[in-house]
Amino acid sequence: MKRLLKIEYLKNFSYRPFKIFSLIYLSSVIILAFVGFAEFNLGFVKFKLKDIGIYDFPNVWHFTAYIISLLKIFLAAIVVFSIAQEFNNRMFKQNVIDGLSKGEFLLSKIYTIALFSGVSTVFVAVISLLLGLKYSSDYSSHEVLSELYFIGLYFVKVFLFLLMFLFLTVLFRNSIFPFLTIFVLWVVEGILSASEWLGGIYEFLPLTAISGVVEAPFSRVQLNMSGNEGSFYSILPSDGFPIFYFSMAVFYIGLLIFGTYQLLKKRDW
Amino acid sequence: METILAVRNLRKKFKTLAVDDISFDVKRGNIYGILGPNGSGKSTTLGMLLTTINATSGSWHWFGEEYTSVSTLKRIGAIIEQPNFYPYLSAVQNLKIVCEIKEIHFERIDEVLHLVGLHDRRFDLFRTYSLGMKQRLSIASALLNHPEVLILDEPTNGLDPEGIIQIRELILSIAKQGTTILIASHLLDEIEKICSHVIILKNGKSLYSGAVQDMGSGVSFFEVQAPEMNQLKEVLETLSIVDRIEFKDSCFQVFTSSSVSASELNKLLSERGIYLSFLNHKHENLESKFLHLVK
Repeated sequence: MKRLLKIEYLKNFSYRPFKIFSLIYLSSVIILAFVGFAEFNLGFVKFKLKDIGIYDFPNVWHFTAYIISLLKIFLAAIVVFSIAQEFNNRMFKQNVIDGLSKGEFLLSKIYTIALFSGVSTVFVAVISLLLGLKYSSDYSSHEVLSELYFIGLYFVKVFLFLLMFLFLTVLFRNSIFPFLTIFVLWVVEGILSASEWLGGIYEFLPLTAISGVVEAPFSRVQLNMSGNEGSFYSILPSDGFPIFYFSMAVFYIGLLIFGTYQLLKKRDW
Repeated sequence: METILAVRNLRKKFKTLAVDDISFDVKRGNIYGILGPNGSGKSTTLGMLLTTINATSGSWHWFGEEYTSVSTLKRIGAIIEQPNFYPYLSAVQNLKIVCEIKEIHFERIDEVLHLVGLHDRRFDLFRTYSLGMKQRLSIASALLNHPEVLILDEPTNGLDPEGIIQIRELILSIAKQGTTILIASHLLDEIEKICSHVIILKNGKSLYSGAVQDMGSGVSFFEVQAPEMNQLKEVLETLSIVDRIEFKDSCFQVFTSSSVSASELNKLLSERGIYLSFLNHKHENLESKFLHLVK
């Protein structure tokens, strides 16, 4: 594992798209982390996101995880560009000839993706914790940690998303078609879920699984008409651990790793 | 001599049959040329032996072990078609990756860069290299692990004459150290100057496999000219020792059935009133042998 990560480090560290997208990602994470400071102007009602309570424990885990997960496309760009160039420069072929097995090549990419997802998860955890500590009114340990599983789910979400791009990049061997495919899939799954055509089949599709693992939390925000305790909003408890989507995500992770390996093995390079 | 590579009935079918039932052996210490026109299956054969192409059927053994394992690849140095490196990395950074893949020490990098004369440019990006330098870097890369077998696919492709000579001398000096070398090329000239053994492919079939000097069992022929060419031809056709006559480059090429010396032929002709103005006893070179075989 150390050897494969070292190879990946040597390959990527001086690669310009890698540096650029890492920088974009990092700065976006930092900016988005503090998005709650922004003031939204909804007609005559002026409010701050932090006043809604999204930075309160335990809600903060879910809200931060979701908001930062919106940036995962930049991580995907790193993955797509750095893997597509392996094929454009015929380096996959050369690596294999030099003695890196196809399985090792795939593993080195999976480790890298896991590392990206892991580092990104640490960001989310640290930012959530800091925001929670700063704004939360309730520090009782049970409350603080009750929705901590969103951090683990965040990892699964990003990891699966990046694996999809890994698979598509190996499939198409360029950097444009993976994004197009994801876009088309997104539109198709959107139509299927909106129309409920073919029943609930969309529930079993990969992008639905990805978004289901850490769902958009905004439906949890309720306008509180009674207006007591000085807040117009209250936040509903989360729906609990999404067992179905989590299982679908694990299934797709297995399927994509298997599929990518088969592509690398069965093709003539 | 130890057999390093034994290939048996190797086949590869893309849409058509690219490699059709090829068998050959590679013995330690020799230089082998895989020879054939473009599209004859040379690169496909090497690709299968190096695991980048999946064989349709057939088998092979490297160092007595069936097929090509990762540990086998670490004992081989191979260059395919064109120099492949990360263009945005320097020579040293590229070779570090190869060292990591082959699990060898970085110390070797300086040695091989000196060997191919790229040490001064070692920190320059690969994409700034000339084609000759790229080709030399790939040889350096293939030599990193002190390979027992060096596989070169068209090593002088696209090089200028000076570059070709440099590469050829490099290959010969590597061969002197006892490294077994397998070169695929369509340049007969190149193979003839370097190789002791050849494997000749055409349309995916193996036409010949063996030592260069055994090829075509030492066929030789005479080139003859006389002032009266028509008369010469008539007389030649009456001689029982003559197998075949071809007219080429204003000479008759005379192929004989048994080994006939030049003076014998001259004597026979002068007895029949033909006095030659030109007589040359020619041994078939690799090119004519090759053309003969692929005809």
